[in-house]
Amino acid sequence: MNTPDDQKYFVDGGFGIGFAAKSGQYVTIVDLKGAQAGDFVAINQNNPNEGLSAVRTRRHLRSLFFGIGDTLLSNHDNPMLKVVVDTIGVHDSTVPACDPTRYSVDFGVPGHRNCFENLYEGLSAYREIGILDVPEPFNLFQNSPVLGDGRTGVVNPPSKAGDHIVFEVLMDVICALSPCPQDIIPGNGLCPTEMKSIVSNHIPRNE
Amino acid sequence: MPLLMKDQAEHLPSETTLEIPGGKACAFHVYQGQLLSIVDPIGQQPATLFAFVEGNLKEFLSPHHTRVFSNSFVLNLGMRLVTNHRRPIMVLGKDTVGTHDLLWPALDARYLSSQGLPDTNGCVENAQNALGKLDVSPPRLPDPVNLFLNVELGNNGTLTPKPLKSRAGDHVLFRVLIDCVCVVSSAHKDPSGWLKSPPTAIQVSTSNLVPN
Repeated sequence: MNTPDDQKYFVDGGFGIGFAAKSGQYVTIVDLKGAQAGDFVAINQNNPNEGLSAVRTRRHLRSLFFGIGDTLLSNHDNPMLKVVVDTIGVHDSTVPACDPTRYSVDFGVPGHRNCFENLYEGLSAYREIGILDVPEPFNLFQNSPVLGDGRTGVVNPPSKAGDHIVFEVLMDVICALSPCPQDIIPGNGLCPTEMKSIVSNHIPRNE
Repeated sequence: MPLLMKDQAEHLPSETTLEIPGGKACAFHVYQGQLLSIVDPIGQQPATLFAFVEGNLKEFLSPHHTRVFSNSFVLNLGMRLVTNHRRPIMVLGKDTVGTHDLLWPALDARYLSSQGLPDTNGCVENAQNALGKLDVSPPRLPDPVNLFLNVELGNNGTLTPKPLKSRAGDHVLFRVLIDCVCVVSSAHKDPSGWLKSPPTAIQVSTSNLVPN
């Protein structure tokens, strides 16, 4: 049941959006069409040098992966977000955001939309930050299994339309979400699609 | 000998030899074509490596981009280590250990204190101090490449710190491809991970010839 004070943000595939959330609120990220990875970052509202940290969270959880009940830490080892609902359980926190060089160097396509600039612009809408203040992302719904011999893989997400993850917010944060514009290699079904985020005072139902 | 370029430089770049005390860090310059040797002379000592592109401290060695560049969670012989702009900055050319880490954070004082080691500088503080001695002030210290560190990766994504495999004299040798400022830190023990106390020395050299 959504309450009138819920803030909803829709973002087109391949674009980015920023939003703020207070400690005690909930942030919900919804894959509206399915099979779409969403790069997600958060920074401390009061200190842009403190942001969500995949490596610190990894050390804390002793795992590449995270799920319901797990706390995601900042680069100061402070709790930032806690996973309270997760309808899919497949996410990544090892792959850097695609950036201008991902497309220009690896694929010979300069000028492609990219998550890194989407995230930077999303955060920058709320406060001035340095380009290096954009944390390494948590790639929600991204499917990056560990293959044999320590090899990485990125394949299309198994998420279906409406799959979502809900975080309890443990620190006042600015978040940014970028439904990944990757349309060259597997990862988004070659067709980036829209996502929704909700900031609410209660865990949303029926998302 | 330096890289076999068609046009050979008249002067070879300067070489460096350093012995980094246990639990300390040193920063140094290394140049395109040189060889960077990092030796664990005692054994079972992790060496934390950072590197910044000379003249552009916003471009640095990135373990995250290195993994994606080679589709590998682990550092293997022959792999290119790349910057956050996906440019190869060095290549792992020799390796007597075969176990290194691209997934674990650098230790810092706050974390060490939380693990029962108060008032102890970690690799983060040591690296920042070492860079300061060269008047190098990067806007942000990136995540490191953890040489000799052994964090076992399970097929289900579990990460389990294990005893280090390096023995006295084990080493890695990188061919450097971009002029850079490097920091190597002899890491403190992590009470929640590997158990080794006190940290021991790490030997570093930059050279124009393959070292013996």
